[in-house]
Amino acid sequence: MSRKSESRAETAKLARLLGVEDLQALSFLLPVAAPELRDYREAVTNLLYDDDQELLQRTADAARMLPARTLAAIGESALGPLICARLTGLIDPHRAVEISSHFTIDFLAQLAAELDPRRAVEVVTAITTDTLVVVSTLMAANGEHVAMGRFVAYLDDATLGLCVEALSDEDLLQVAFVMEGEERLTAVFEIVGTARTKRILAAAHSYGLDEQARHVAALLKSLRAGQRGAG
Amino acid sequence: MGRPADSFPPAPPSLDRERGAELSALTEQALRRQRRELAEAIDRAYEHIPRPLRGAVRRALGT
Repeated sequence: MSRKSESRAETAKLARLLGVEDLQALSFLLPVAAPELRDYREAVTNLLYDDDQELLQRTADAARMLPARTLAAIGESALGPLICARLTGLIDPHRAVEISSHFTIDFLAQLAAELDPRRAVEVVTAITTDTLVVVSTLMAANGEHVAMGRFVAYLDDATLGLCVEALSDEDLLQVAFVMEGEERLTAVFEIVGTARTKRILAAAHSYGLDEQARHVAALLKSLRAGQRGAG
Repeated sequence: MGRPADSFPPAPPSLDRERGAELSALTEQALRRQRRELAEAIDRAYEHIPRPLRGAVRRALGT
């Protein structure tokens, strides 16, 4: 695995978090070691999530006064995906799932792209499989591969399998490159299967994803060698 | 409502000072954008709350 590729994956995640659309603007981060970038990203995630926490908590508390359908309408037409994502972890999970059932699927995909699933595990795991699969395809269409990579650890194998089936080879490679939790990567590619994995890696050049393919292949090899060593 | 500079995460140690400052500036921009979005979102939300409930919601939010 090349250190530069690891740093590139981390830089992509940081760019998404900071709302920097042009990755070139962060090219000065590529020589920085990935663990340093990861630590910085974690700290920024906490900074953004903890900021205005009191006001967000009061907003979440005030939400109890309104029916779920009204809240969904307010969320979608007034609050927007970023604020709804921040609120998701502050609302009772059952209520959050009820509200989410009234969102349009497009909005849900935008909200998911802003969500830190670690802060809303109960909500993510309670969303129906059908909805998660459609959301994953919409997120892929929106180019939200970094955000998708955050969710993989929270999906069970059955849901993951359906998402893998629904996504294109190119999207799978993009997500695998920036996926959180390397230990889940082998599980993902077991679901993908040997034939499709070979096809994805072989076609990477045509997607302009050579570096991503090399990185994923090397990571898979090292993880599998580690598993064999431990077994 | 400014945030003291020392409450921002320190830049990755291997970045030089100039690049570190550049990264911190981008982080500060993201934080400001989020604050602006929250303030605007809450203002917009009031218009969607049924009129009889607006006072109670406003009191609950303390805005």
